[in-house]
Amino acid sequence: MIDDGKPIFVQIAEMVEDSIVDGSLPEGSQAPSTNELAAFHRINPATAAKGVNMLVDKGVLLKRRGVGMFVAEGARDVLLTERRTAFADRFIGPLLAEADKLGLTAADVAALIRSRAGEDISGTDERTAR
Amino acid sequence: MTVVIETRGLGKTYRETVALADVTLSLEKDTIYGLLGRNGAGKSTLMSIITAQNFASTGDVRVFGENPYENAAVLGRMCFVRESQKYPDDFKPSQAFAAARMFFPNWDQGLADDLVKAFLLPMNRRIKKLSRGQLSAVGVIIGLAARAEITFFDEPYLGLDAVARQIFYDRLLEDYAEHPRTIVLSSHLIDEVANLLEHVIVLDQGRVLIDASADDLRGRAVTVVGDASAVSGFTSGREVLHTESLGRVTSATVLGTIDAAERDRLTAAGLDIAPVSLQQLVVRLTQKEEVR
Amino acid sequence: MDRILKVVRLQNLNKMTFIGIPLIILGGAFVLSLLIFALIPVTPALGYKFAGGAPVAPMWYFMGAGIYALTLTFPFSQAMSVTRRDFYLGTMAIAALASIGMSLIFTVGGYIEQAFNGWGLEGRFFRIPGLWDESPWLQALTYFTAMMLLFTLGFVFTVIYRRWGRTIMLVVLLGIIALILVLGFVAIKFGFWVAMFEAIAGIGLWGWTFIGIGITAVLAVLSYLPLRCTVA
Repeated sequence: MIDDGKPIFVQIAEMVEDSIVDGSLPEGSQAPSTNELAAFHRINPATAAKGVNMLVDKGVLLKRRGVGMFVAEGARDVLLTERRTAFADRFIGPLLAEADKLGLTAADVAALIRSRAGEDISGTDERTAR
Repeated sequence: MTVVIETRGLGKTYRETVALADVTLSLEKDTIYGLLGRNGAGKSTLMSIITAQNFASTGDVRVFGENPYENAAVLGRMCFVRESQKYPDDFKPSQAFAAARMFFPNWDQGLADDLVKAFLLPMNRRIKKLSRGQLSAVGVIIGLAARAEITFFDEPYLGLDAVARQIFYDRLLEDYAEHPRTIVLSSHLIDEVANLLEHVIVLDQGRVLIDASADDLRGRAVTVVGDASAVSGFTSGREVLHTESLGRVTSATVLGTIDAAERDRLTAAGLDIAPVSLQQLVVRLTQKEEVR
Repeated sequence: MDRILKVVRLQNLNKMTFIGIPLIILGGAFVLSLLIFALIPVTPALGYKFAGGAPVAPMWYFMGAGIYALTLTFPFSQAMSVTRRDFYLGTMAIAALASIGMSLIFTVGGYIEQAFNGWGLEGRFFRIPGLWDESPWLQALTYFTAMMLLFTLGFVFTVIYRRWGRTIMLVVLLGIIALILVLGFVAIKFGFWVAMFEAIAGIGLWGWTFIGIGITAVLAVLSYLPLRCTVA
């Protein structure tokens, strides 16, 4: 949930983005309101609003006057692109650093990845099929 | 944003003790403030002076632009129930709430009734016979249901168990979302309230030590853990708040932020980077100040 | 005005304070007096029975009410965001109302007592000797003044205590007592003791009642100014 790391409003925005990416919050559907987010995460509504506004500025959420916040069409693709780009920084970098500490080469890591991916082959197929 | 409370050079001295000194603050409308500090730091004194229940020795206070002293129009828009509030002898909670209904124009009886149920408060037992927690609940209910434009909660958690405190925080947030107002929450339990606060004021020995937004404070310090020499390489030239060592492992908390590049460099050097919680920051800054 | 009325209502939220307890004390004193009337014979010189200080019992409670108004109700009124001025006026108002009420009870009671020949026992409770005989109006005014005076005494000493502390309050209290004692001593020493007594009697009941009103008013004003600087 909310931790002491990044600013809270950033964490809120990321959580909403997570649910858009994993499909639990489909495009065109109504996003949770600021007050709902605040109550759920037990944070100040102004902080929740800051996070939501960040997503609006980014184009991920749309504000429909009098109705509420909705997930913008194409938001998922935008986020996927963004995250794929950041994937290397977020995961590969730390992965290689940790491997290095343990004395594993990049080739060793690649081999590990292939064998793991091999085990999950049925799961992988489902994901690409979506 | 509109400023609703302004203090300029506020000071309060009791014979030889300095309770407050040179307190200059601006509090805005519709914001939740945390008023933090050690016992005796001056939090209650500050709140009583703002609500004209106590008097400043020097400096001045303006609430809604006016002096609150004997100012019924301004006072009626504020609510301050003290930590150990006295109630008329033989009063029951029902009578205390009836009184609050008379004096606070925004009083919501429905909310009060709801809170009474949530806190399991016995309405017809004399207040002097209530437990510490139930007594706190009376004050908390008055503070919440009064919906005053400026509401002070003076260490409201005293006597409240963890369940009751969570009820208070949840109801506070819920009501604040529906009816935004200026709330000043003084508390020792910084970690519990940290996520509720928008702005943090820390008093230490009567002076303002910190006056910043919560977001700002959250990023203000960082803890780096790892091999002693690597850590000391990092800390040189930075303001260190606190260090601890166990064998060759040192943990250092420093003021300042680290950008992504630096983060990578430190991780590559085998150091762990940890965030600093609001409570840790406040505690460390206060300790540092007191050592001076 | 509206706010002052709210303070009156606040003081009366617990009906016992200004209505209940005074009535209970009065009732108790009355019943006790009746019992005494049933047991004792008529005092020949006077032609009636009187049970001493019984009728003034509620007054002493009122001094306590004055103290209590400041120690507990005042801090609560501060939490209710009431100004000291509104608290003061509202509290004095309810004390006055209760005093008027008590005086009325005594007046009405006095007439009933008269009609029933002292409750069939030739007793006097509501008709205070000296006062009633002079005039029922005088009795009403004197009773009202005495209650207000005692309330204000309780109030003013408590304000002094809250504002300046216990030491100053004791100094003032003992100082007043000392002054009275010194006056008495001087009167005896210089032989004008009797003359002083005659002068006091000469002022008369009406005179003393008006002096009482004056003293009460002065004390009331004296209690307001320190209140303005008192911390709850």
